[in-house]
Amino acid sequence: MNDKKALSVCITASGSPEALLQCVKDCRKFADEILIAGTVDSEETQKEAQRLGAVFLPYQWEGSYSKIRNQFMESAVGRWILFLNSEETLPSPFPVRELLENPNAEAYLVGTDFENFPTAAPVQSLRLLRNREEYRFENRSFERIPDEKICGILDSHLRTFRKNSPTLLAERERRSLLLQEDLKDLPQDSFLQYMEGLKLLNQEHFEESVVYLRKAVSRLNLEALYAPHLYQCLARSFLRLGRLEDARIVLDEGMDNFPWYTDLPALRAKLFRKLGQYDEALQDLNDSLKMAGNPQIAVPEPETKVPELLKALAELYEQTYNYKSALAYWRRFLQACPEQRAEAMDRFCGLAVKTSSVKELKALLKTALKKKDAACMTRLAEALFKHRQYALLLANEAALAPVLELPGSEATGIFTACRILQGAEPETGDINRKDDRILIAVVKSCWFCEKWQEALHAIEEMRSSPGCRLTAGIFLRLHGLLTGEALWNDTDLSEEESEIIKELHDDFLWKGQKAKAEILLLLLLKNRPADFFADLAHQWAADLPVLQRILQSLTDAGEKETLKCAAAWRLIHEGRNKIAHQVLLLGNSQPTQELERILWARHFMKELREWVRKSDGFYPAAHLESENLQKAGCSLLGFYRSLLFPTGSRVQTITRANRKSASQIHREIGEFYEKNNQPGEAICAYLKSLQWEPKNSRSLAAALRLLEKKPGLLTRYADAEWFPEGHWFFRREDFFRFIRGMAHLQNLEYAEACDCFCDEDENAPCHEIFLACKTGILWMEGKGGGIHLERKCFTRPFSEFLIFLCGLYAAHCLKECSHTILFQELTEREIKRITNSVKFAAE
Amino acid sequence: MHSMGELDRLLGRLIKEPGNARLFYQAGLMLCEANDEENAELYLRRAHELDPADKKILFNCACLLYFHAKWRECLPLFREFLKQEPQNRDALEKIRDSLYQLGEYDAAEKYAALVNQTREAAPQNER
Repeated sequence: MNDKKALSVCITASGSPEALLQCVKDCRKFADEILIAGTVDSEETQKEAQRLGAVFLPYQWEGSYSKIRNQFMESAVGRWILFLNSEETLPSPFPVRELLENPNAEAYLVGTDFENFPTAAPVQSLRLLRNREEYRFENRSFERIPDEKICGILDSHLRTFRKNSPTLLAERERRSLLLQEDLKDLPQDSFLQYMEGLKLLNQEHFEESVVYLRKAVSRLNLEALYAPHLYQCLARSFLRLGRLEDARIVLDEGMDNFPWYTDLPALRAKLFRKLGQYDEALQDLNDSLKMAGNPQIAVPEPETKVPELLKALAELYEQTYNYKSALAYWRRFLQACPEQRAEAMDRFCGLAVKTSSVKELKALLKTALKKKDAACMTRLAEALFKHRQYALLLANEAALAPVLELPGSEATGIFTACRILQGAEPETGDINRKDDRILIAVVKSCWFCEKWQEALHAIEEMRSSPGCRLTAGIFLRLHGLLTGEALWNDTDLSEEESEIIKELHDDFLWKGQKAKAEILLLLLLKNRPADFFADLAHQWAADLPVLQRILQSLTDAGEKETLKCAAAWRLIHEGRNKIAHQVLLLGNSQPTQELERILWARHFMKELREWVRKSDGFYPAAHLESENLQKAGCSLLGFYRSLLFPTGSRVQTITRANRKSASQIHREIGEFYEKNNQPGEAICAYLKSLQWEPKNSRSLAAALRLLEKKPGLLTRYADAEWFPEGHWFFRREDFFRFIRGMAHLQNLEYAEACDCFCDEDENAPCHEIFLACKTGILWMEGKGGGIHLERKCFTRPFSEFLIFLCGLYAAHCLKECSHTILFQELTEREIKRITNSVKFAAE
Repeated sequence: MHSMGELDRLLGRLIKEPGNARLFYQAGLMLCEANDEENAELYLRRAHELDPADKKILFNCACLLYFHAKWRECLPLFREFLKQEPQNRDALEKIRDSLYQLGEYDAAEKYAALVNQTREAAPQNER
């Protein structure tokens, strides 16, 4: 063998002569030898290829693709061989030579992206390998070197592209027939079963593919290159057949065998989403993302990449009504995958508008403007226009107009359309009537103002524009419907009709013209509005009869539930509790537990505050303001400063510390000790903080948390020599009964807690707190409404502490729900809201 | 970890040598390890009575009292220890924290300042 030649490229010629010559030209950049075998129709092409340095091997089709490769291997003199097809397009650069330097590599996978072809087997990518005698391909159809004969296979991370062509279709057909022959010879061969199953999967013959893929799994050698892909294929077939449990079993087994193969958890996340097991889906996606984010040394490299996972996470968060997180993931997806920015921006803008997050849109626009990326700005402008962010677009017209690349219209057209839709009178002079966007805007603005005649003229104008003809036809029918001059009798809407009607329906709602929107809604509901019923529910959330009509148009229980959740989310988000409650009761299904709990918490707190107010007691404001917040003494402040600011404190710090209450100072000391890993001292400090201010929720939570870990410390501290501080607890035993009672309350042990709050000295100041605790427990047990207390009981400390305690309880109940991803953001927001409302102002 | 057999042997020796402070000290430590903190305290206190000058006994006895939240009682022992090792930061910190827990903030502040001084003097010993 000639040592000077490092790489021989072996090209199977098929398809057009131009493609072959292009392929040869591309290969000249990195190959030392180019061999061609196959059918070359024109002699001229052959000569030209030879002139470029290629050598033609004698070729005769002998009914086996392996034979061709093996023949190449016999003739090639390079130390490495790369197999290509003449129809493949190579990316430029194609850094194949640097791979040849790796002494540990025996072969590399070089993948191919086929046009409109779902899945190719990784085995087919094994086509850059060392030229050794022992490496010979087997099978007539899908050439393969048995796994036991070759090791040291790496992924090259190089990919080629192959367009659809008659030759490719013929090749697939031929391979398919040859596979049948291979299977006749070796009916038990796992690889052949896998290839047949994969072929059937790609043809969407799922039932049949399952039969072959299952057989392949049953005889699988786990070391085989295709093994993880086989599990993925079988699971996909099961998923498409709706056999979710079978898919789950396959994926579990696959993940046990190949924990590094990202495709499997990503696919299982899809399955979990279908099953409504969102937390499990989130776990799998996060695991996949972690794996995909690390440099992949796995062979074959999984197909699922970071952008797809980001998109899946965004969709999962959106599906579970966690819109902030969904926005964050769409933003990351936009950065990671600029090729798909049109879809991502549309989804991002839609979501931002839905959640009234104009800030998010402005930030995105700012980033795009900063980057001066014309394509990005164009997509964003289109998305903003679609989601009716006309004001935002117009505000940035000067920066955007020069860079927009809008096909078939002038950049200024989009801004003119914005102005018209915002209500500006269209001026003949500045309107380019050939711009479809403007024409549509004119019709819409006429409909908004009920200028029916003008609208009709504008529609006529649309009909003369080739790009608008179809829309004009639909607009004309809608015009009749809106004016009441005609009916829309068809029951089935085409996809195009549906989209246009939905858009117009949204336009009318945006304009606040509900009556017109409702006419269109009826039309939409005649069809099964599966694609956008959740959107409709969100839009019509506050209109119960309409919502009910949308609900009735659905037949699937899951869709009905989604509709209720979408509507209720909006209402709860906007604080419209009563109607949200009514929405949750619509239909026959059980109300969603998480939403019901939020409504319960709001109702509970509202009732409690009302009860306090009606009893003529002190009615605390949203933020409690304690009159008893005592400032820390000089001695304590001095110690605090020496402890927390050992290198001396600045004037600002001193001033700030001087304003702090004794309770706050002790809490911060507690935090210092906790950070210093001194839990005993930390508990002591938190307890001191509570002696000064029993409502200090942070100190209470920290003390109870530490005491739960080290319960013995409470007894030790109770027996120690110390004197209660502050003015609430004169006797140590009262204070410890208070702490023990609060610990029981945290565990919802009402009877035990009540015992702790009894037998207090009625003249002691803590009596008010204990009374509040006992009253709070009755409220927690649902007996709040029936309590009658003397008016004199409703002192400020009593009312404040009662509301504080019940607020903690409501937040605690909500926390029980927040461990699941469904409505997590809404639940967490409510917890924060309640906790803030019961905190005392200085905390 | 010492076995109960070892502790028994040690207690046997103590009967024979009731004036041996080191034996009481070792027994105290063993009881500490066995989580019998109450008896550990008795043995360490006895060891300290027998040999009040022993630094190790003094420090461990003080620490045990501190961990039993006997802050008032541990203070003189730590102070005694400081006479022998005035820069010992552990002892200074324990006094500082005992005083804080007793609510004697003025005195606690003084010891906090001393801790800071030792930290500045020997920053390499920063924990």
